[in-house]
Amino acid sequence: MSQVDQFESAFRSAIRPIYEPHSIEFSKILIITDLSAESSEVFGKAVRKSLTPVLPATNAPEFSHLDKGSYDSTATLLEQVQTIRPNLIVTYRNLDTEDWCYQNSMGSRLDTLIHQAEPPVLVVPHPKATTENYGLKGNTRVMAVTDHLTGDHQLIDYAARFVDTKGRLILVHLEDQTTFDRYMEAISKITTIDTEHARSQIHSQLLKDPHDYISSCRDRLRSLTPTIQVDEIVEFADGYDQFRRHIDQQSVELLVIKGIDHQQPGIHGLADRLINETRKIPVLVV
Amino acid sequence: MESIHHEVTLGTTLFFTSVLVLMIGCLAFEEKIHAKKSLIVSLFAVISLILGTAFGLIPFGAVQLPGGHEISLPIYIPSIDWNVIAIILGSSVFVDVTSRSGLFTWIAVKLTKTSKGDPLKLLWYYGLMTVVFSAVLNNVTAMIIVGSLTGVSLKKLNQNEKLLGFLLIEGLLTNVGGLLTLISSVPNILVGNAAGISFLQFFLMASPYVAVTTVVTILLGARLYKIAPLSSAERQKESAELVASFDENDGIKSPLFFKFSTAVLGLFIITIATTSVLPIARDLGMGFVAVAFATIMLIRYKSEVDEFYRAIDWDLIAFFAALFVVINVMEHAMVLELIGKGINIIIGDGGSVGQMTLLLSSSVFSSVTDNIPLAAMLAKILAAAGTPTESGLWWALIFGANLGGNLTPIGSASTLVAVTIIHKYKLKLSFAGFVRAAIPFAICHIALAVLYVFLRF
Repeated sequence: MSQVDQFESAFRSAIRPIYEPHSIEFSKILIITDLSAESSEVFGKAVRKSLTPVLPATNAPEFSHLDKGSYDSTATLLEQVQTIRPNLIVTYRNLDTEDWCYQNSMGSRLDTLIHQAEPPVLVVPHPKATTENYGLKGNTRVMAVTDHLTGDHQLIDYAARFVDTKGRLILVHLEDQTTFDRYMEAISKITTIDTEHARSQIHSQLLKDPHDYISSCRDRLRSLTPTIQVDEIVEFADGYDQFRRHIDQQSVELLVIKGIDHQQPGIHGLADRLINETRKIPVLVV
Repeated sequence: MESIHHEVTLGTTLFFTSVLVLMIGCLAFEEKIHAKKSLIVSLFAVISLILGTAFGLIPFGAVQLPGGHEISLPIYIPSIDWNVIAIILGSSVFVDVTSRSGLFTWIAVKLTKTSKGDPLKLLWYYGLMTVVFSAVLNNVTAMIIVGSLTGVSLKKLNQNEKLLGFLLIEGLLTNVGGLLTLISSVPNILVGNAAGISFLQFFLMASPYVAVTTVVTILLGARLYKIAPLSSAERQKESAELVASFDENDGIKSPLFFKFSTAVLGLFIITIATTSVLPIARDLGMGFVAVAFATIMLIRYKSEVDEFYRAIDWDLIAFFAALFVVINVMEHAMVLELIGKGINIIIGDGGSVGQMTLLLSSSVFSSVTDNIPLAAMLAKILAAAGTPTESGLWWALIFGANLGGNLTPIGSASTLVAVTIIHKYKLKLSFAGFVRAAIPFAICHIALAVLYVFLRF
């Protein structure tokens, strides 16, 4: 390794990933259901009530509704979304399908909506799957989960926007142990690299970057809202179950995840699985 | 050692002169023949010793120590200037250990943040930092630190188009900064030691020139490469935010060692500066001071000192050792005396014209080949001619040997590092391209040096 490379690494390491907050505007919120107008109205009220603490008291947003009969296909649904141009879509899993009772399904309408529509989608449990308030419990414990947190300002912006001023924001970055092991397996076959040294250095560096980024998020968010609590979970994960375990252990009320990221194709699989299997709490897909 | 006067025929001297010319030629084409300079010179040292012995030029015998003691040493051992080797060895280990404290990266990052990302301020800060680091550390380390920071910070600031100008100016400034102190560059050590110039005398003489030349270089560089302050408030704010993400404390693993290193570095500079007047240190020499400070710093890494030994530039050390052996043989073959006669024709009575001629010829020579053999040989010739310490000829040689490196990319190790970094960032700069880009600066530097030597002597 040349000395130029060594110093370049030292200087690159000195660059802290800094969270840059951007304001999130919720001027138009679209609620999509497959219910009758009357039931849809009840659902809408519950959503509004849940969102009230995080929406501005002044400049109240304009709510639009699409209920049973407003669309007859995914194409017409997407057209309506395009026309209304909301900042946020609120709907539930297995929209317009009867598959809500199956564990690994979010329904084709919702699947397409999440991947095609531009605004973030707040997915709540299916009305028939919950007994109380459509799973909308509050916003005191919000968790943002990803395997690529550093620099994802947008994810933090939305997650922070949904936390009560005295709430707790849990930022979770789980590094994929399997991928790490695969790379280390390759490194272990390269004679010019000290495998154990590489393992410990790469391991700690992979955790350091998200840790630094979360520190920056904490500083910035607390400067804006001093009462907010920002906690971090940064670790290697053996698999999807570890994501699930943290969500359950923290009694999370809202889960925030990244939906589509063309730079991070791996996120699709994680997002889809989390949406599919997180059936008791709302999930905001950014 | 025995006297160097022997009966040597002109034919023998000319034969050995051709060996020396061949060695210098090989050094000039070091890159082309893909051989490290240490190996080139070592081979010539072996050849010179064999030939010198065969021709009966080398005076074998015991070496007399002060107090009348005699010891037996291989002839090639006492021919090496161990004080110079100790300075280089000690300084490089000291700098290597000190840099582990994060001190140099702390200074570099702090200056970057202070600039708030403004390109012109960055050029000034990086330029000054290059000069100071070249003076305190060595030219190559200074270029590595500042050059790598420049690459990272300009990329962060989305100012990649300015990288070539920055790196070129920094590369040229390493040779200007290398003039600041007696230990800033190897030619300074060699010539300063031969001339008997103390650290303080050297600094007082060199610093006005270095200050003026640094300012002129940065101003000229900013003009030629259109490096100007950010005009809009929006871009100023954006750049300030980008550099704010640098954390100067990132490289500091132990705050205690950081403070300790800072204090020891300060003490090192003071001790080196006053070695010629400090009791004990005066007798033991600058090489001892450098090695002693390196040893103190190594205590921090007592269980892994071998790592630092591995990081020593053995190529450079071997090069020096072999070079001293070659020069010693050439001395016995009366080659240096022959060159000295030639030099005398050039420098005449050592007046202004002679000084100017020596400065210009040594700068041209050191632009195409290594300036160390030049400095070592000419220093020995000037010393043998009894040139007084206060003569301007010493300074003509120091300025020429250092500044000649700015004429071509192979003229000095630090400009070569600058070109390496330039190529690392996929910027196109050929040999001729470098000469074209550097020539306005080099002419300016040499002209200022000629003027300065003329005014001072």
